[in-house]
Amino acid sequence: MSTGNAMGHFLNEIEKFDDQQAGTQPAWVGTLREFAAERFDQLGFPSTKHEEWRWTNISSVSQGHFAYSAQPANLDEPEILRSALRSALGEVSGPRVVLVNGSFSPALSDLGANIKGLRLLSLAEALEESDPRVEAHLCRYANSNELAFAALNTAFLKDGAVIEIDESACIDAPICIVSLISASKKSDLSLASYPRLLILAGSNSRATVVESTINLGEAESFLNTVSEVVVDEGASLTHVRLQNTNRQNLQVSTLQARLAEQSRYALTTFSLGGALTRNDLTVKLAGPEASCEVNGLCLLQQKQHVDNNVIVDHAVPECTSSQIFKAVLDDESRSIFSGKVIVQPDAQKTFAEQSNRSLLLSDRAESDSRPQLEIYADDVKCSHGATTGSLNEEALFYLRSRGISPETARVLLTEAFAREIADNIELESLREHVLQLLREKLGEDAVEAVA
Amino acid sequence: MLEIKDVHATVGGSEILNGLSLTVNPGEVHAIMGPNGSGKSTLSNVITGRDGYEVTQGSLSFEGKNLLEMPPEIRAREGIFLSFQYPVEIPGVNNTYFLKAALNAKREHHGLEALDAIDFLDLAKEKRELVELDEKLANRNVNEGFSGGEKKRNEIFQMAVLEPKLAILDEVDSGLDIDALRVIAKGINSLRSPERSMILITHYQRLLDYIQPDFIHVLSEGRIVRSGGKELALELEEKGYSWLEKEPAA
Repeated sequence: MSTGNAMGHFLNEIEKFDDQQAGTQPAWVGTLREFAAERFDQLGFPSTKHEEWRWTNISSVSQGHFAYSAQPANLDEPEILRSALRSALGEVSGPRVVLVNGSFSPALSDLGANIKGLRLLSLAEALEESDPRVEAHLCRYANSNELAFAALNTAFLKDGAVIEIDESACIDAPICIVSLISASKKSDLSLASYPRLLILAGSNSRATVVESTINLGEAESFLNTVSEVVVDEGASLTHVRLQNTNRQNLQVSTLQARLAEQSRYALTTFSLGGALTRNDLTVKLAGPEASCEVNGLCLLQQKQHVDNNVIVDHAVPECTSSQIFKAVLDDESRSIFSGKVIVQPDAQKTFAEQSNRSLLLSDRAESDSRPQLEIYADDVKCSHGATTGSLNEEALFYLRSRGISPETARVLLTEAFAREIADNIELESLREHVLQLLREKLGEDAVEAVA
Repeated sequence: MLEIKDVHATVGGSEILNGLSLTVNPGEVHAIMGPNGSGKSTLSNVITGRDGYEVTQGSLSFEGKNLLEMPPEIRAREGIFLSFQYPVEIPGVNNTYFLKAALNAKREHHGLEALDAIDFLDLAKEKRELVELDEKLANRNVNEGFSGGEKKRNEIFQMAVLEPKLAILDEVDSGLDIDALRVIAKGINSLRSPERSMILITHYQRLLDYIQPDFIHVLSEGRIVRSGGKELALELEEKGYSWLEKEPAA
């Protein structure tokens, strides 16, 4: 538990928020919020004494002065917006929901109204009209009862994005969710926002969702997101998350996915920005022959800290899961990967693999890897491996012996290590955008090395 | 072109080169032969500037410039090329992309404009044909999954693209069957010119049947103990290296 003071600040914030919402939301939403607020009060912020939080101290969140605000700053200039969207998505184009500080921006969004089989809308709207599908699924997977940050997010349940994909729909264009954080530097309080995403992929549907989060400006902020993903029978969902916030951003994300029979879910997270990022990613394989890939790449510098906590729960037989997490760590950055695979007693014929590889570019960088297998069935194939190393000296010399500068050689070799994760992205415009972001970030290094 | 004078060099504290001197003029092809451990590979590493090889005495100059003051990439841009005995596999780095970057780094060093993708591809195609390197291989990741022969072809392909003034070919024949050796040798011979010098480092006389050197030097215990013309190779073939090892420096 954290100190009473810190909790007091957040509980006050929740109370203020609750007052603001009085009478504006349907009763069932109020009930969800109230329950979550109560649980958050009881759970408190996790401390490093919690096993799951051993490596990540979130006192910068709990002790911070963060205030909920949906008020965007500096958002009236179209050029700023265009360039923000461009840095978030590159050439990726498709229907999009743009959230500014967690609130839906109708002006910046394009809901793709004429795309058959897709219903894309703001969570606020879905709540207002008590969309029955949303009501049936919201808060069913991300557990406010046990997870303090999911409870905190739910206590601020108001807006975000909902993606509903109809049965058998095949959506070619990537569905984009852009989160812009626009904090004002003037205020004594830093900005907190609590967006929420619900993805409902109907049976035998096929779609790609791209989430991109960036800041406008350099002010401090706290972003606490919850995503719930439901992949119905035979559906295939590709989900790519790009986190490229500023170096003052603290982020805690909870994602819970539930996969039905013969469905496929491929989640890839790219952690490039932020001061501190914690991702709790849980995939439950709930129907036979479902498969998931959970991949991630961290590219970190200075004192950036990323903690990926992945749980893949094989609840039924004949499911397949794979996890590949890679980290490139420079300066004093740190990455933590905890990957748990649970194979329930009935989940025979499970195939699960996991790998975690880190490339250390500095003596002061740190990589922690914690693979865990909890296997309660006997006919299963599970593997895991973790490696940590530095750049290959032989390869560096080979490149230099051809005339390539050591800075460029390092960038080439680092990109080679990192790009495996990006190369898995099928959508070309997105793959190119990600590679471009990687190069930009690696290039910063090269420039620094020359200077 | 290359002037090595009384070079002593250490690796991890132990002296491997022990007063080696060698002069290579433009257009000359020199073969350096010698038993294992005589310092052949150390010589190539010292010329190309690999980390961990420390020159404790003597001088190395290339076209009148002090090589010891140049990092490896500058030596390369000045025109020194090493064909590795064991070319490194570099997963994730595209061979064509890497070679274009290398060529353009060299061109920039000489005040020339960078080649664009189209001009580079034309050049690469022409040079690939010299060593019969498959286009698909040339466009894969650097040496990744290449056979021994393919790796050596890729080395000579790179040499053809980079057009060095001095090429050091370290055991270019090792691991090659006779057909592959013929192709590689043909490629190398086609790159001989009055301006381009070569140093062939080899354990076996076999290579010299295919690439005829102007001079042969025998290295032993870090020094050249004997120098001569082509006929020296035949003598070595007959008598082995042991008869030379106790002789005074040439």
